[in-house]
Amino acid sequence: MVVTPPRGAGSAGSRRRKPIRAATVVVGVVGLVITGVLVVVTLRGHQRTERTLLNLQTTLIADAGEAEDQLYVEYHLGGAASLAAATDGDAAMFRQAMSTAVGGGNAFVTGSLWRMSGSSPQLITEVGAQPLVPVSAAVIRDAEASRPFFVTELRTPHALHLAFAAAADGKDGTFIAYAEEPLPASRRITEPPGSPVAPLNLAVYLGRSQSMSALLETDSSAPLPLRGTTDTTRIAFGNTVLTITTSPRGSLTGDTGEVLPWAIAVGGVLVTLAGGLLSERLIRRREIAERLTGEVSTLYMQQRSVAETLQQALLPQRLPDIAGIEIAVRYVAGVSGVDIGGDWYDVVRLDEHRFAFIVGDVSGRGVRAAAVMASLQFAGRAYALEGHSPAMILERLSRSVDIERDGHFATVLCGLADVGARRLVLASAGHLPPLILSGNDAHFVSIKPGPPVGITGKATFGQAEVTMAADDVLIAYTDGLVERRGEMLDVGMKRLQESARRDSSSLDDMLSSIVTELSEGTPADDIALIGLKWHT
Amino acid sequence: MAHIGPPGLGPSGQSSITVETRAEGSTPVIILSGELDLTNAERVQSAIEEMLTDGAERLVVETSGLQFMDSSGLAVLAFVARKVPVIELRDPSPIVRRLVELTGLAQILNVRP
Repeated sequence: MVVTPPRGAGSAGSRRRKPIRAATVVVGVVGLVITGVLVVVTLRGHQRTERTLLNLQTTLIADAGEAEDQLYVEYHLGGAASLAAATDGDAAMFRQAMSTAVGGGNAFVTGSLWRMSGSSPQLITEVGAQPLVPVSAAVIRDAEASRPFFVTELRTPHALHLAFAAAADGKDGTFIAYAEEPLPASRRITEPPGSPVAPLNLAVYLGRSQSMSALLETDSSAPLPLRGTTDTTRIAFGNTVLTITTSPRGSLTGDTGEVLPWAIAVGGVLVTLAGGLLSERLIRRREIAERLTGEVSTLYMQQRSVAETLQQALLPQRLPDIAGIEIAVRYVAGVSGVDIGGDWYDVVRLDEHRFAFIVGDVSGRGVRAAAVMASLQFAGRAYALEGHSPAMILERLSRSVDIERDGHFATVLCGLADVGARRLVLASAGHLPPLILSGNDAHFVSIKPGPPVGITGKATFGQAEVTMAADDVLIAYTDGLVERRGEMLDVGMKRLQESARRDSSSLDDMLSSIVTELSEGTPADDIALIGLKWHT
Repeated sequence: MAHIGPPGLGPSGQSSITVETRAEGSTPVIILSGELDLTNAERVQSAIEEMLTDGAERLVVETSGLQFMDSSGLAVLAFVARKVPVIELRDPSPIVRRLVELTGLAQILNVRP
């Protein structure tokens, strides 16, 4: 038998680039989709957190700014106006009140006190530097109508001042305290590190517009108006509002929040790649394993079929034609794997009226058992042709096999039939007794068995002689037909007896139904069966 | 006569059998219980051979606990029978006793009782 080596890993075929399996593609796609979803979710979460933090910080800044600026203006300027109203415009008192708010590093650089009599304002006194531009009557008039205070911008090409004016009603008219706060020309302010504003770009506008002309101050080096993620809030400021716009300088939640989505993306892609590789590898291994299993199974079947072919070849292909006798045989292989069994049967025509038959069973299985079987078959045939009696045939066979030398022994039933005389001589070497079916009666022939052949070279055998009537049937068999684990042999033999007694249209049918009935599908052991029917 | 196949196989693919030994004076006694068949016959044969000392006159094989024996089991007994002049098959279970009777081995094994 030519055995092709299995094409496993390492053969030329496997070095060819193989297409990626569908399952791997699925693993890859699923991995990437999961990664993508995770990245989006993390990114969104990060953005939401950033926005929430930005809103929160902007509100905090606005609240703090409102409190600080409003209080400052109301305390100093409102206070000075109220003082003037109470003291009927006492200039000295005003100067003293303003001394803590004007000049010397304080917010205001100039201050003045005005009285409204009629519709024209009158200057009572001034402190600090000169106003940026002469104080206009319109500002003072507007201040009279604006509570708690009035605020406006004053511009020259070189400077920007915020002008504040607060009014208070006295007995003889309304007093207005006026002050100016300079803003840096660049509008740039620098927030100290650690300030709550430090992580933010900040732009503060006077009024609702975010135009450059309305910009009061910013700490941003970025171009204005701020872009990207921004938050805008407005707070009341005197007669107008301050518009505060912020945007984060970096990540408000720290670097981790910013990096996390990308870390997940990179990690996810790597894990997906690894998963894909692993899946590909597992699939390839499985394919190899499946192919090998298939090849092993094929080899097994080949071997089994070789064993069966060999066994069939050893059995007689054609049975002799003997007048007055019908002969039928069966051979059923058991489920015993690749090992060849050692059951056999043989029919040898001696002359017109006489023939010998042998049924035997070599112990164990395998090629050696088959070899013992073949040698016993050929020897038995030769001894029969030499004209020996069944007992003599078995005696001689006993000397041809040795359990110690050959590792096997055999049970053999040997019979010599005289068709015309209807006489049958039988001898048994440890073999189960044959069954004779005569009319409705089925009984086992009583033969005193000698030991199986191969046990001892000094064995002697007794013979039994039976007379067959017309239509009588003799069935000789091997133990595979009747033996069942955990059961007395007699039980199986009883089954055979009953099965044989059932009506059958022919000898062939009888053997078929016996085998079917007793073997229950595939028998555990091999079965050899021979049936002889007298017609005369 | 061979018997291998699914029924009664242990995890090793062998039928389960226990081989115990003791001595009655100078006579070794082997006690077999379980199932003796093609799957474990070789192992049992080696075990028995190992304990047979040179020049042993007699061997007792006790098989009351043997629930099944096939022709490979018979081959073990027949083989061992070659090694000692007298082999006694003691207390065979009905299944074993019947097998020994039908196969004519009763002639070479002294079956007691």
